[in-house]
Amino acid sequence: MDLTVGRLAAALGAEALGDASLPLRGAAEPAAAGPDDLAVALSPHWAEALGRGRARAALLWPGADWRALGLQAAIVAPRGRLAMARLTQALDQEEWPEGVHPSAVVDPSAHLGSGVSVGPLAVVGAGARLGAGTRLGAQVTVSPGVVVGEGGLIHPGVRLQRRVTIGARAILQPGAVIGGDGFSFVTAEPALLETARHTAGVGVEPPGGDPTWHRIHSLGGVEIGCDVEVGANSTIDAGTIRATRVGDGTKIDNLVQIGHNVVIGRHCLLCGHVGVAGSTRIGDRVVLAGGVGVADNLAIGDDAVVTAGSGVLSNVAPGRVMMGTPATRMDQQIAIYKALRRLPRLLGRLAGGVPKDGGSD
Amino acid sequence: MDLRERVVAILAEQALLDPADLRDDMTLGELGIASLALVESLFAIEEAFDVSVPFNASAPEAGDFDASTVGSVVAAVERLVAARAA
Repeated sequence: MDLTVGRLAAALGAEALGDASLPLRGAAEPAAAGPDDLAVALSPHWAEALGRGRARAALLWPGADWRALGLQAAIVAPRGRLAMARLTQALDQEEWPEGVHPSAVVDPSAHLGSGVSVGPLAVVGAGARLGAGTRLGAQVTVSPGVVVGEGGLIHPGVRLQRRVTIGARAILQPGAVIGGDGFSFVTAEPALLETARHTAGVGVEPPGGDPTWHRIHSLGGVEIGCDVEVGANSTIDAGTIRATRVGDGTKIDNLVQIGHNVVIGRHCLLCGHVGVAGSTRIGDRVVLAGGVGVADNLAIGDDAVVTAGSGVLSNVAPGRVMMGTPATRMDQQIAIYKALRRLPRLLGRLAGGVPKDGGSD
Repeated sequence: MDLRERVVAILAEQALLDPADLRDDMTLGELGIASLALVESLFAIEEAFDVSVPFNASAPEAGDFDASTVGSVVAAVERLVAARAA
């Protein structure tokens, strides 16, 4: 379908101004836009750059005077980032060949829904089920019995291990591994770490018994809801005797590690390098910013937000904004930091010294 | 450098801008100094002038220290320094 300003505006649920029949090839930043590009200028900040590009049409901020900006057509977006979501969806029309590539290995007992695409060197095991319209990239491994819902986009090199079920419209970025074994080991007698946990590190003696770590196998698999995205090289480990769970609408960034038996609610955001240790339960709409680490067997309530790089070492109440390591209420953490920053000057005064610099001029 | 120049230099450093580009009427929000960047700026002010800034990170315009614009921060620091000298 040939894209025009009018058609794109309709896809965005926005109003087209000026020449709606103007053809479009793609989108570009204002200064780099060619005559067939829609320049994306979502704030007045970009107005000057529009003049340097060659766009005839632009996606503009509310209240912009498109004629004064020298344009022939415009689409006005009340909420810019939402318009970007719809615009990029409309322009992302990657072609996936339908059917099974001759080099793929698909078990005869696997069930492929209509319109399923299986890429080169992909492997689909016995009894696996792929929902209608799901696309598997090159070298994807779908283990026996795995279920993937309809409309999934499984990028190259994704590994779906046994006992994994995934809902509709999943997007799994390259190299994601779902359902690897949990990191779960136990010694014959209570190990040092168990004692340390109970005594908060006081009076801990090395137990001296048999140090062998016995492996606890992972039989529970992983259950992922609908509309979930998992980033490149992220890993979600299988549960022990029940599934590790990720709820509907949750988005997981690259290089995230989700331990065994973790339960994550709906519509959460887990940014890059987040690590969640085993059996921790995370509520709905929780945001874990980049690099957040969460210890095992904790609970994080609905709507909690944890700022980048924090380390969560105890339960978090619903709606809390947490910061730092150990993660503390953000206002409290800032107060702590404030006190810490003032400490050197305070100590200087206590020592009877006069601060060398910083006096008034 | 006088007091004003030193305050502006501190804010400019957080905003990654040339001090010459800051005007008194610019809001700290406009300069991209929000939340923790604001806290950092205020610490830098405390350390440079040996004062304690009474501030509330969640309500920058509230309280005795008005951190809403470049000009208001300069004025607030002037008051703090004057109070300390008194």
